[in-house]
Amino acid sequence: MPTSIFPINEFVTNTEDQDRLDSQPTNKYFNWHNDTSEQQLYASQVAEMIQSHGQEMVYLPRSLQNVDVIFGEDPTNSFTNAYRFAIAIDNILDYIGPDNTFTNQAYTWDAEIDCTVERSLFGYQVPIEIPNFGDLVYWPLAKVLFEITWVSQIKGEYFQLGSNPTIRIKMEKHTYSGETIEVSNTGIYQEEHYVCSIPEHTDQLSCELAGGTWTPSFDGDAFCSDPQYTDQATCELNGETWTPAANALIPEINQITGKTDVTNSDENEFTQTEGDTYTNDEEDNPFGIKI
Amino acid sequence: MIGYFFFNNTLRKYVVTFGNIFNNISVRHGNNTTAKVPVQQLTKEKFVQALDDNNTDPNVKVILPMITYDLVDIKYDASRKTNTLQNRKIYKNTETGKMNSILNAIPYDLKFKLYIFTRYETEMLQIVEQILPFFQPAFNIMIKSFPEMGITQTDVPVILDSTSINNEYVGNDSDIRHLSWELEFTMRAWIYTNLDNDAPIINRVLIDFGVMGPEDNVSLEGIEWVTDPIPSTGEDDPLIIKNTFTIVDP
Repeated sequence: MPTSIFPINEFVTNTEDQDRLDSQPTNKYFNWHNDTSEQQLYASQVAEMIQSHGQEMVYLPRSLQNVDVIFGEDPTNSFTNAYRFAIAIDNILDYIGPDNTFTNQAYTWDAEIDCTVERSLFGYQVPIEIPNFGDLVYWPLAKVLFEITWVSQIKGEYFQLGSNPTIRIKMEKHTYSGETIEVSNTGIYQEEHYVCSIPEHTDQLSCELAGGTWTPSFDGDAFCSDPQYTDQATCELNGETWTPAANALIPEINQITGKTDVTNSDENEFTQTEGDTYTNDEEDNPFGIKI
Repeated sequence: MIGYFFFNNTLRKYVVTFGNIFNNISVRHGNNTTAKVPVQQLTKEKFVQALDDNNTDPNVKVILPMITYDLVDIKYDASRKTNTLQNRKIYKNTETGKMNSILNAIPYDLKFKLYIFTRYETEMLQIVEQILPFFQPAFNIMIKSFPEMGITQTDVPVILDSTSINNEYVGNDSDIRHLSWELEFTMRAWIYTNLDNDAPIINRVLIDFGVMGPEDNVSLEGIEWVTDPIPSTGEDDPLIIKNTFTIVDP
C-alpha cells in the first residue's frame, strides 16, 4: 500500500481510520447516493403525487421518415402513435408568454408551459425512456397541442439521494406545418367508445351489440362500449336506430391534419375574386402567365 | 382647395392586386400532398383576425406555411411625371351634352413588404422559387385602373427591390427555429384626381382666316365646324360633322 495521502491528524487516530480513508474517497457513512431503497421510495412518492394532482395528457412521439441531413429537418415526419400519461404542470396560474399576439406572421397563440413527469412512471406509461425534443403532447382538458422544446438533462448528480426521479420539460404551442397526425382512439384507450348523444334523452337510450341490447352507461354522454364488437354498435331510441359516432373522445387531435391548405372561405379566395376584376387579361400574355 | 370628396378606389385595387400575385403558390408537404399557401393582408382589425383564426381544436401556435403582405410606403415618382394640364375626356351617356373629364394620372411608387413563414427550409425554398423567377426584376400587370374613363390597360410593373432572410436558429435550446423571408417590392402605380362629370363638350369650332374687311373688325373668311347633333355617347361613330364654309360680307 502506498503511503497515505491523508496526514495524521486529530480525526485519524488509528490504523483502521487510516485504512478507511485510503480505501474510499468519500465517507461511506454519509454517502446516500447508492441507497436504492431510499431512491425508490422518493420516486414512488413523486409518482403518486403526479398521479394524484397532475393532469392526463396524450404523448405523440415524432416518427421520422426521411431526414434531410443538409437542412436538418424532416417534412415527412408523422405522428401516428399516442399514449396517455400523467404529468404535473408547474405553472400555477397561466401559460408563460404573451399568449395571443398579432405579428407580421398574423395571429399567433404564443404560449409556453413548464411541466414535470416522474421518470419511471413516464417510462411505464409511454414506451420511451424520457420525453424527447420535438415530440408532441396533447392536453385534452385545454384542447391544446404542445411541442416539447426542452428536457432537463440533470439525472441526479445535484440531488441528495443521487437520483432525480423527476424530468422537467418545457413545451410551447405547436407550430403546425402539414405533418400527418393520425391518432386512433383505440391506440389511446383500451376499448373504443361510441357515443350516442341526445341531450334530453340519453338516459332512455339502448345500445345493441351482436344481438344483445342494454342500457348504456350514462355520464353526460351515453357510451356504448365493447372491445370486440364496437364496430357493430347501434343506438336505439323510441324505435329509431342509428350508428353512433366513433372516436368521439379525442377526435380533435387529428382535425389539424390538412389545415395548411386554404379553403374557399379563406382570404385567398376573396383576393382572387376581387383581384381578377381589377386586372386585364384580355390581351394575350406573351409569357403565358396569368395571375 | 382640395377638400371635396372623391374616391376612385384605386389604392385598394393596387393592394388587392399585389396580394393576388402570390395567391396561387403551393407547397408540397413531405407526405406528397400539395397545399395552397394562405396569403393574408396584415392590417386587419385585431378582433376580426381573432375571429377568423382557425388554430383551434386543437389549439396550436400558428399553422404554417403562410404569406403575409403589407403596404408600407407611398412615394411620388417624379421621373414618370406627365403634363398636368392635359386631361382625358370621354362622352357621357346623357342628353346634356356634357363629358366626363379627368386630369392625367399621377405617378406614385407603392412599397410593399411580403413576409414568408415556413416551418421547414424545404418549403421555404419551394415558395421562393415560385416567386423569384418572375421578377427580372419587374413583373408587369395590366390593371383596369380607371374603367369609368376607359382606362383599362394600365401597365403597372411590380419590381422586386430586395430580399432579406431573417432565419432565427441560434439562442437557447428551448427556442425553436423560426424561418422567415422578407421581400420588398415597388409597385409603379398611377392614381387619379377626381372625375369631373360635368365637363362641357366643344361642339363648335371656328377658324378665322384673318381676312379682314375695310372696317378692320369684321372677318371676311373663316371655317366653322359644328357637330350635328351633339353626340350623346362616346360610342357614336362617326360623329356627324357639319362643315360650313362661310364668307362674311363686309
